[in-house]
Amino acid sequence: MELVIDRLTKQFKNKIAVDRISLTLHEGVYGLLGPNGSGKTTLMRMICGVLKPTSGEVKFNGIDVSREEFRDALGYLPQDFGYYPEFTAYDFLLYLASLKGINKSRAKEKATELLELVSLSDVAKKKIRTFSGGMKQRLGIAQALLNNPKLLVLDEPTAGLDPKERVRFRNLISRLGKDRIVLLSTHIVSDVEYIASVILMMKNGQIIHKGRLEEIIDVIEGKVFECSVDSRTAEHLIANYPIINIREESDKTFLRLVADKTPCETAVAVPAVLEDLYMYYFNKEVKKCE
Amino acid sequence: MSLNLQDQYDKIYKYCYFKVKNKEIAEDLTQETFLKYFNRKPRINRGKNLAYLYTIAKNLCIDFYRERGRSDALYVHDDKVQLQSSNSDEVSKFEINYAVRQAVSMLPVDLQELLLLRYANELGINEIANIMNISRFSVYRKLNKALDLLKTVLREEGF
Amino acid sequence: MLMRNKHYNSKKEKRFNLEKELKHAFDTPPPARKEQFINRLDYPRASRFEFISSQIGYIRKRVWICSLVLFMITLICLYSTKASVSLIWVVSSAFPFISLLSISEIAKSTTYNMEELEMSCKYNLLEVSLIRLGILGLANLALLIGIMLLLTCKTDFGLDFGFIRLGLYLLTPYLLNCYGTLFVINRLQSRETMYFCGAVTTFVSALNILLATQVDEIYTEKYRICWDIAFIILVIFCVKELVKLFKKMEELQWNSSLTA
Repeated sequence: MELVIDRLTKQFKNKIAVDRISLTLHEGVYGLLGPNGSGKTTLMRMICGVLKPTSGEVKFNGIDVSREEFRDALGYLPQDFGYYPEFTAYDFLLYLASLKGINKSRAKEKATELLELVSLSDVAKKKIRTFSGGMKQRLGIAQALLNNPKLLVLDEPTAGLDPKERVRFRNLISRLGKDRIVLLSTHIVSDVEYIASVILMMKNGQIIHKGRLEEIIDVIEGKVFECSVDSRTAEHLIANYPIINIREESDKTFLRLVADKTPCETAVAVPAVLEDLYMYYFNKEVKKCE
Repeated sequence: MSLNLQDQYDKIYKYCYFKVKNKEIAEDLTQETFLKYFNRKPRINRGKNLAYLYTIAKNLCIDFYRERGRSDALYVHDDKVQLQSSNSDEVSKFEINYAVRQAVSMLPVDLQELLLLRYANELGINEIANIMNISRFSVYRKLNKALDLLKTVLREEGF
Repeated sequence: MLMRNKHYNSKKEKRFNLEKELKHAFDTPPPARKEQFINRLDYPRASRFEFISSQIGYIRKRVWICSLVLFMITLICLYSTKASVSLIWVVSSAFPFISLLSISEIAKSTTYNMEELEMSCKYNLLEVSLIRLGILGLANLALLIGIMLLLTCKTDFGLDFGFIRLGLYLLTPYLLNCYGTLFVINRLQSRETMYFCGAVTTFVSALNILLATQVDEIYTEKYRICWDIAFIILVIFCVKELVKLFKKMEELQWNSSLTA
C-alpha cells in the first residue's frame, strides 16, 4: 500500500500555497503539523482530488488521483462541511454511502455500526441541525469510514471534540492505522504526539521536517532550557532566543527557551517535547542567535 | 435489522467452532461465511438476514465435513478451555461453568446446537426455526427438552 | 466439590442462573484474525444503475408535487372554464417556478456546502449533478409535453399555432428563468442565493404575465420573430451558464479562504 506524492504544487495567483512537495506514505498514521496558512488543507485537498494541482502527481498504488478507483479507496473529512437541511445523522450516512457506491442493505448496516462507533446512536434519528459542533464532527468522522477506506485523510479532525471524545478518537485512529494509510492534519501538538508514527511538519507550503517523533525532536534535544530570572535578564533573553513559554511569577520570570548553549547562569537543560519543536519553528519572533 | 459486524463475527465464530472444534478452521469458515454473505446476489428479506448468515455458516461447515471426513485423525482438536482462578468465588464460578459445559456436551448434538443459537448467540425463535429448518413449535419443544435434561443432570451433580 | 455450608444456597442460584450459564457454555478462545479481516473487508458495490435510481429518491418531493399540481391545474382549467388563449400565459407563468425548483435541486450541493464531501466520493459531485440534471430535465420535458398535449387536444390552439409554436410560448419564460437563476448561482456564493433566485423567478413570471396581458396579439404572427429570436438566444445563454456551473463542479473554486 503506497501513496506517492510527486512534486505537488499549488499556486494561486502569485501565492504558492504548496511548494513542490514529494512524499511516499505507507501503512500507519501520519501527522501533518503546522500553523494556519502553512498549506496543510491545500495539500490534503489535492490528495483527495478536490483541488487540481498546478503541477505534480498523486498516486495511490499506481492509481492516479483523478480516477474513480482512487476515490473508491478514499475516506475524507474536510475541515468544514454542510448537510442537507432535513437530514438526520442516519440519513446523512446513507446518502454518502450511496455516493460511495455501497449498496443499500450494507449501507444501513454500516451506518448503524459507525454511529455506534462514534457514540451517536442515540441521536441517529435526530436532525443534524440540532447537533453541537462536536457531534457534527463525530458524524464527519463516521462518514469518512463508510467505505472502509484504505486511504483516510482527516483535516483537523479533533476540532470541537471534548477531551474524552479526543481520547476515543485517538484510540480509533491508532487501530485504523494498522492496515491503512491515515493522514491527519492538526495544529494541536498533543493529538499528533500520541498517535502519529510519522510526523510531517509543514511551513509555507513545504515539509520542513519529516520523521518519527524521536528523530525530529533530536534536532532540538539538549537545546531546551528552563530558567527563572529577573525582568532585565528576561528581556535580554526574550530579545535573543526563541521563547517557548513565559510565566510571570511573583518576583521572577519563568522562561522556557531554545538555545544552542546555556543562555544564562541559572538555566537548566530539560528534555525536549514536540511542543518545543513546534514553537521553535513556528514562533514568529524567532531571531537569529549567536 | 442490521448486522453489527464486530459482534456477529464472534458469534459466527463461536458457531463454527462448535461444529468443527478447531480454531483455525473455525475462523477460516467464519471469514468465508461473511464473504459469501456480502456477495450474495438476490435481495433477501430484511428480517431474514441473520438466518441467512447462519445458514451460510452451517452449509460451509457441512461442506467441510464432507470434504475432510469425520475422522478425528484428519484435524486437530483444540484443548479444552482453561480457566485460571485464584479466589473461591471464581473457583465456584469455574466449577459451575465446567459442570454446565459437561452436562451440555452429553446432550444430543442438535439440542446442543439449539442451546448455542438461543442462549449463547441470542437468536430469536423465528431465526432459529429458519436456520434449523424446523417449526417454531419444534424449537420450543426441543429447547424445553434440552433444559429439562440439563436440570436433571445438574441436579444429580448437586447443583 | 463445593463446601457443605454453601450447598443449599448454591443449589437455588444454579437453577436460577442456568440460562445465564448457558450463555457462556459455548465460549471459545477469541478469534485471532478478526480485526485484520474486518479492516480489509471489501464491501459489495452498487451498480451504476442502482446509484442512478437511488438519486431519484434524493430529489426532493416538492419538485414532483409542484409538477403534478401544475398539470392538474391545467387539466381543471381546461375542463371547467372555456379555454382561451389566456391559459397559455397562465401556464407559461407558472412554469418558471418548476424551473426554480429544478435548478435549486441541481445546485443543492453548492447551496448546502456539501461540495467538498461529494467531490471526494466514488460518484463525485459532477456525476451526481449531471444525473440530477438528466432526471429533472426529462421530468420537466415530460411535464411540458404532457401539458402541450392537453392544450392541443382540448382546444383549438393546435390549429392556431401548431404544436411547436405552443411549445415555444411555454418554454421561453422557463428558459429565461433558467438563465436568470443559473446566472445568480454562478456568481453568488452565499446563503441568500436561493432567495435571489426566488426573486428572479417572481420577476420572470410577472414579466410574462405583464407582456401577455398588456401586449395584444402577443401570440400571433405579429410577434412571431420576437419569440423565435428570444428562444434561440436564451437556449444559447442557458447552455453557457450550465457549462459554467458544471465546470465549477470539477474542483473547488479558489477564494481567499482556501489558502489554509
